[in-house]
Amino acid sequence: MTSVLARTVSRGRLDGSRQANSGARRRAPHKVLASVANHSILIALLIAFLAPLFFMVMTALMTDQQALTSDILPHPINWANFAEVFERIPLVRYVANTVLIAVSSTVFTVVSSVPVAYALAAFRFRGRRALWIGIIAAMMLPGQVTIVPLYVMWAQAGLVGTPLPLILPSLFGDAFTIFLLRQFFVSVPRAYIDSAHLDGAGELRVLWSVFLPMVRPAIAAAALFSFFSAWNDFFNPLLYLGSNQDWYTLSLGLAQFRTVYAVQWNLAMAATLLFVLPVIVLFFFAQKQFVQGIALTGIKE
Amino acid sequence: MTSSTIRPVEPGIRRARRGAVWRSRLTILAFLAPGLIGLSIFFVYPLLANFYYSFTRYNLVNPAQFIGLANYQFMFDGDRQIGDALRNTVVFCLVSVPTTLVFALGIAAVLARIRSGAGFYRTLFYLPTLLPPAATAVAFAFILNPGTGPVNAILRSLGLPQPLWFDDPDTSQLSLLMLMTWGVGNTIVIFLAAINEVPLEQLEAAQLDGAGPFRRFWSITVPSISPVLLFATITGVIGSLQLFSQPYIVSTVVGGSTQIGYPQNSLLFFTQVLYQQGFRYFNMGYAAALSMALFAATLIITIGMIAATRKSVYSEESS
Repeated sequence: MTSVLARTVSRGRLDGSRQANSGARRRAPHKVLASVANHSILIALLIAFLAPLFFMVMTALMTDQQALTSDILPHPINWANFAEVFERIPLVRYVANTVLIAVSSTVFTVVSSVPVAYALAAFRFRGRRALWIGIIAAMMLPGQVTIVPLYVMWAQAGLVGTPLPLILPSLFGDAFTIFLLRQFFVSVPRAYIDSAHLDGAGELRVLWSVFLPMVRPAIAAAALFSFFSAWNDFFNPLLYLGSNQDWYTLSLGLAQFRTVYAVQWNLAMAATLLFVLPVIVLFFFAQKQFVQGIALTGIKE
Repeated sequence: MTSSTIRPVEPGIRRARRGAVWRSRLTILAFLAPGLIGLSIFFVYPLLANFYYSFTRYNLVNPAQFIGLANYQFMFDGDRQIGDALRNTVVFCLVSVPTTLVFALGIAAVLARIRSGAGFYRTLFYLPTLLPPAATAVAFAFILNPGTGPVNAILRSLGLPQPLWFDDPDTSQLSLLMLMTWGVGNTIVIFLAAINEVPLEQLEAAQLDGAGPFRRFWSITVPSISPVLLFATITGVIGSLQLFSQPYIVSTVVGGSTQIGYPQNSLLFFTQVLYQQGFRYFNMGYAAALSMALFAATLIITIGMIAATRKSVYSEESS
């Protein structure tokens, strides 16, 4: 996913330079019309795409009374909703739980997936293809296919109701992360690794001091995807933490917020906004990481 | 699959590399260890165990008891929910996958044509994809709520009919489709990348031959991105078969805490029956049988689609 994203960005640049040279064509009037049409379509769609976020923000700022009307713009603006959300639900605890789970599973996932992806990309060994197919299968198959025995496993270990079932598996690599990293890693020229070997460096040293510095953007991208998927996950927290309110994540807390506070959409939207805001902020910072990932895939060509 | 016998690169292979000819088997095994252990414990073992559990009656308290095909029998002629769930899942898959793919392809095609700002648009179209399903489901439950929702407020001011959206079994799946289409950014990015890789020479040659933009898109762009289209279709189908969070949250938010499938089972999907059977009623054996059905369906559909399109899709070996 990221590698595709990465390639797009590099392509975008190529396209830009390509089209700059063909400036002569640009003056044709039908081209201008087509361009206006294209942008109009995109802007119209973009408005539709961003409207839900807009409505969310507007309602999050309404007073209780106004939220019971079908008004769209808030008047007066009621910032107190955000404070009230903190009073109504243990939001700080939800955030702490979610951060703990997302950060630890991201760190573990990356640390345990990097060597696997590196071995898949750099070494030849018997069973490599079988392992690769296994990883793709684990990535593609619906998670529900294995959920019963996994739940039984965690239940027998007495860990249902704790966040450990969400964290411990990440110590042993994640199929999607391994897949993503391996796709990046194969684009690094062998010459770098080989010359490090010539200098007498051991495998671990080659990985740590030669290879890793070169693939830092790929690792950043993999870490971001891993973080987002843990942060956004609903099914697994529902399964393993649904019975224990002390360990509720933001997803769980938000999903049952409305059920508890029947009609207060303004508070529900304020809570939702508090939940998505970090994601949006992180996403805009992450843009840079994606672009950096490209320089790496560009080496291949 | 877990075959871990390590073979050093054979000397004499064409691209034999000086100095790097022999790799320690143990080092490779150590590098692979987390993946091998993880894949064994969290994928291969559960897959096999699930097969076994599907022939048992098991509630986590008493030991699993072998009951033959009884779970499968119950699936076919005892379970009164599964029919609705299966129909909903299949219908939603057949409608949502083409809708989202065509929509994404259309946006990607327009994005590929514009000279500036493609990155800006792409970023914003991608954004909803990354938002937590819990947040987007709650947001749509509000936006489409018939009482105070902004969508019906706008429809009312325009004098248009105002559907009940998630509260009406006739429009609830359409509402869910709108929610899922909002998260189409991922596919847009993938399609845009693929379209930008289409050889420019071919498009220019076709243009010289007098082919219009639609003809060029259909006859050159679409065939050359066919592997990506196939991949997106497969992941889209698998994604819709395992759809859980959004309908579950919408149903509980709109209908109340115990209303799986609200309204009137119209949002009841296969995985929700699985969840309910396994983790609310603790019929682990029956849930395992449902998992097996999901596994078989995924496998058959994936292999079937790859086989059916083998001739028309150009495939690329990635190893």
